[in-house]
Amino acid sequence: MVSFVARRLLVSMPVLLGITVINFFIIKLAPGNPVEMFINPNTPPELIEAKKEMLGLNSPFFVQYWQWLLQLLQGELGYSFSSYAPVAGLIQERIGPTLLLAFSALIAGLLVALPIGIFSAVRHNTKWDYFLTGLSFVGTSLPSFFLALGLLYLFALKLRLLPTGGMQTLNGDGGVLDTLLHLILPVSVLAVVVIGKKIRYVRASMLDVLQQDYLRTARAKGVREFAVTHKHALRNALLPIIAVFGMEIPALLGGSIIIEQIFQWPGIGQLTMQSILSRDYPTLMALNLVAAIVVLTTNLLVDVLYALADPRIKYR
Amino acid sequence: MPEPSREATPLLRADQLSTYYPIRRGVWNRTTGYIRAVDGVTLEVYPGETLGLVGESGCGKSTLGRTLLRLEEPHAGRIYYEGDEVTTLTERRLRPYRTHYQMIFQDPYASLNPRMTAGELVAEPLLAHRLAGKGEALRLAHRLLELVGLPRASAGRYPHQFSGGQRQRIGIARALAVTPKLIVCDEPVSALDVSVQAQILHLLQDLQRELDLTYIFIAHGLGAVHYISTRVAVMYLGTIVEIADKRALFASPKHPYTRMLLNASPVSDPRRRGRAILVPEGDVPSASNPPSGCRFHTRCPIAMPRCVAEEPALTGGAHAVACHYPLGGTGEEETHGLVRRETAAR
Amino acid sequence: MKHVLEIEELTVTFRTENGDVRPVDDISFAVRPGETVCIVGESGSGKSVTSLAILNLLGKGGEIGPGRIRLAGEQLTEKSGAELRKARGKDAAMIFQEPMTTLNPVLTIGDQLREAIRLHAGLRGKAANAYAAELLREAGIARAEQVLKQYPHSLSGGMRQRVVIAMAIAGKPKLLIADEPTTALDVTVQAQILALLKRLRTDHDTAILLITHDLGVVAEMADRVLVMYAGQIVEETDVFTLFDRPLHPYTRGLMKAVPAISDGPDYRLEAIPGSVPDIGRLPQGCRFHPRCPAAADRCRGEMPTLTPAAPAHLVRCWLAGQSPAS
Repeated sequence: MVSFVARRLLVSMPVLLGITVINFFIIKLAPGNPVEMFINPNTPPELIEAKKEMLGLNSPFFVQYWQWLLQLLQGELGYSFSSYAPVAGLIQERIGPTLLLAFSALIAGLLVALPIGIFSAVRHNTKWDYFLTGLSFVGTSLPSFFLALGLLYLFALKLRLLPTGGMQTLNGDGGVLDTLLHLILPVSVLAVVVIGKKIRYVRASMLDVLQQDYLRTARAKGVREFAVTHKHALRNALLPIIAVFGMEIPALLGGSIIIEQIFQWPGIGQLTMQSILSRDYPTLMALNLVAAIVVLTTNLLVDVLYALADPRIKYR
Repeated sequence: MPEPSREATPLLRADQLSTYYPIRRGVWNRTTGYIRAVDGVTLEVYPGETLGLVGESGCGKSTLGRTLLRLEEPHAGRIYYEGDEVTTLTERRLRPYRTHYQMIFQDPYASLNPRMTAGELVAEPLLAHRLAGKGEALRLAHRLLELVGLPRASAGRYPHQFSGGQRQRIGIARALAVTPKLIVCDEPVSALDVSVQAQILHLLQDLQRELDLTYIFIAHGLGAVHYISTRVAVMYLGTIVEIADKRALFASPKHPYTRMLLNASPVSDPRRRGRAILVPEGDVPSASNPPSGCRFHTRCPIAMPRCVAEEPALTGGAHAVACHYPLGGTGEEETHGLVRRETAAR
Repeated sequence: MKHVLEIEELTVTFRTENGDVRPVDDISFAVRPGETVCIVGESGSGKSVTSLAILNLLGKGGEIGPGRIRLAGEQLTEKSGAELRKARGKDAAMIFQEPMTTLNPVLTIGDQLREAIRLHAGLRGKAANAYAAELLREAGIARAEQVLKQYPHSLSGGMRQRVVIAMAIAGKPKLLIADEPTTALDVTVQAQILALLKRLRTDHDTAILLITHDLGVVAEMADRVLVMYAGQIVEETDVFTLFDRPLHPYTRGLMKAVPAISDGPDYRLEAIPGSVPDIGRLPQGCRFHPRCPAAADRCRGEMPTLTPAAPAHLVRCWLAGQSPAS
C-alpha cells in the first residue's frame, strides 16, 4: 500500500508538470494582456511597452514558462499582477471557504442521495421508485444558476429567512451559527446537482448488489430482511459509491465558480473569476496548479479508501 | 477413427514451453516473481489424433491451449507447426498458419458477438483472412451451419435465439470456416446440459472423421476426455505429469496424482460407492512458488525424500510419467495399496 | 416424526412479461430423517426452484401455491414471514452451488459464521467465536482460528464450500438442502465435500436433499432419487432400482448420454435429440415426447400421470408399464 501511494505520487509529478504547460499555453492564448486590462486608454504606448517589459510579457512563451517554473521550484508563486499581493497569501485566504462549501455540499448530497437511492432500489419498479427517479432527473437537469436565483428570491428576498450572500454578516459576531446560515443556500444549490446525479448511482449499485447470491445465503440463514439490505447489501453497494462521490469533488470545485459569484462567497471561485477578467497570469497559474493538485489527490484518496473498504483489493 | 501415424511429422510440437505471468510490486513496479501457469511443457500432437488435456482448475491446461495457438506469448520454449518454428513469428507472418489452428471455447455465448447473426459470425473469419468475398463467405457460412446440424433458417438469427448446444454448434462452424487442421477445444461441453453434451461430442467425432481434423480436447471432466481422446495428458501445476494412450492411462495410471484423479471421479454405479476414495490432501500450492522437486510431493501419500529434492523428468516413451516411484499394477487393488502405503508412511 | 420434509402438490409460478410460467408443476415427495434424497435434472427441470421454494427464498416474482410444505412437522405455507424466517437455518439449512459468490465479500468468515450462531445457537462474543471455530473444524478446516479472521476471497473454492457447510450446520438443522454443492468444484475437491456430507449424515442423522445434474453424484450419495424434467417429477425410486431398471425414457437416455470410464471397446454414446424445452413453451401431452424415441400418439395428446409401475417405483410415462423399449 505504501509503495502504491509512493508510486502514484511519483507518477503524478510529470502529470502535474504537463498540466501546467497546457494551462500556461491556454492562458496565453486568451486575447489581451494584464496591462491592457488595467490601463487607461489614454496612456502613452511607450509607458505600456515599458510596463510589459517589466512584467516579462515580451519574452518568448517558453522563457516565460521557464521563469514561472523556476520560481515555483523555489516555492514561490509570485505576485498578483492586479493587487500586487503575494499569490500564495491570496489563495490561502480563499481556499478555506471554498473547501467548506464543497465538502458541505458533498456531505449534504451523500446524506440525501444514499437513503433515497437505497429506498428506490429496495422498492424498485414501484410508484415510489418512479417518483424518486423522476425527481433525481429534475435535479440533474435544473441549471444551477437558475435554481440559485430562485432560492435567493424565495428565501432571502420574500421570506427573509436567510442572508442573500457572503460568508458572514458584516459587523456581526462572526460565530459558527452565522456562517451556517450563510452556507445553507449555496450548499443547497450545489447539493441538488450532486443528489440528482448520485441517486441514480446509488440505486443502480444497490440494485446490482441486491441480486447477489450472498444475500440469498444471508436470508437462508434466517437473517432479517432489514439486516439483509442494510448490513449485507449496503456495505457492498457503498464500494462503487466511494469512487463516484470522490470524483464529484473536482466537479464541485468547478461548480462553485458560478455559485460563489451569485452568493458572493469569498472563495477560490470568485478569485478565479477576477483573475481571468484581469488576465492575472500568476494568480491564474497558481489557481490551476491548486485545482490540479486537488484532483490528483482526490483520485489517489479514492483509490486508497477503496482498498481500505474492499478486502479484495490490494495494491502493491 | 483413423489410427494416427507416429512416424508422421507432428502437426504441432511444443518444446520446453513456458507461459509466465509477471507479478509486479514496489515503488518502481518491478517484476518480483512469476505465476508459472505453464512451466516447461514438451508435447507432440500427431495428425488425426485427439489429445485430451486434463487437470484441475489452475493447472494451466487452458493457458497451454492458448499458448500453443500463440494467443498467449510464451515466456520460454518453442512451438512448431508441422515442423516450422512459429514461436516468435510476427502476427503478419503468423497469419497463414492461423487459419490451420483454431479454437472453440467453453462459453459460446461469451465468445459470440450478440449483434451479429449466426451467418455473419461464421462468415467473419473468412472475411478477416480474406479467403472469400462477402457473398461467397455467406454462402459458405450457410453450408457450414448445415454441416454442424443447425436448421437452414438459423443463418439469419442472433446468438440469444439459440440454446446453449446450438450456440456451441455455431462456435464450431466458425472454427471450421477457415478449414483448420487442428482445433483446440477448451471445455466445449462443460457448460452444456448433460443430455446435450453427447450431441456435441458426436458432432466433434463426426467432423473429425469427415474433415481429417486433429483435436486438443481440454476438459476437467474425465468422462468426456476418456470418450473422445486417443491420447491423454494429465497436468498438475503447469507441468505434464503423465501422458499416454487413453487405454493405458485409464487402465493403469502410473502417477499417484492421475490415480487419485481417476479414483475421485464419481462412478455411475451405486454398488461401488463403498470403494476406498483417496484424494490429495489440502489445496493446490501457489503457481508463483511451486514446491521443490516433484511439484506433487506436498500432497502425495507416497512421497520420499528424493521427491522433495529432485524434480522427476517426464520419461517412458509412449506411456511417459514424471514420477520417481511410478505405480504399477491396475485397478482398485492398487488404490488400496496406495492407502496402505500412506498409512505405513505416517 | 415420520418425515422431516413433506411436499404435497407444490406448484411455483413466476410472473414474467410474457405471462405466467410454472417452473415447478404439481410435485409431491417426502424426506425421512437421516435419508438422502437426490433430485436429478437439467436446466429448466425445476429442481433448483423446488429447493428454494422450501424456505421461500424464491425472491420477487416467484409465488408458491397451490401446495403444502411441511418442515419438521410444521406447515410452512401457512406461516407468517417472521415465523418462516425462524425455520430458516434452524429446521432446514441450505448449501448453494457457487462457493465463489455465496459468501459476502466484505465480511470476514468469522462475521458470517457468528451471525448464524447468534441466530440459531443464541451465543455471542467469545462463546460464539469458540463455537464458530468448532464448526469449521467439524467441516474439515484445520486452521480454524486463522480462517475466522480471513475474508472469502482469500480461500479456495473447496474451503469456501466448507465454510458454507459449517454455517449451515450451526443451527443443527434436521434437513440440509444442498443445491449442486459440488458442481463448481474440481473432482478431488468434490470427493472431499461429498465425504464431508456423508460424515455429517451419519454423525448427526441429518437428512439431505441433494440437487444435482450429475448421475455420478447421485450414485455416490442417494438413498432415493427423484428425476425431474420440465417442472415435473418423471420418475421416483430408490437409487439401486433406478440404476438397475430405469423406466422413464428420459432417465434411460440420461444414463446412456453420460460417458463412463471403462476398459470396454470404443462405443458410441447415445445422445438425446433436441434440447431441454423452454418452460414458457412446453409441448402438449407428455413434456418429453418431442425428444422421446418411443413416443406414441397418446404421448402427444395426453399428459401421463405419475403412477406406480412397481412397488415404490413411480413413473410418469404411458409406455412404462409395457415392454421396456431400449
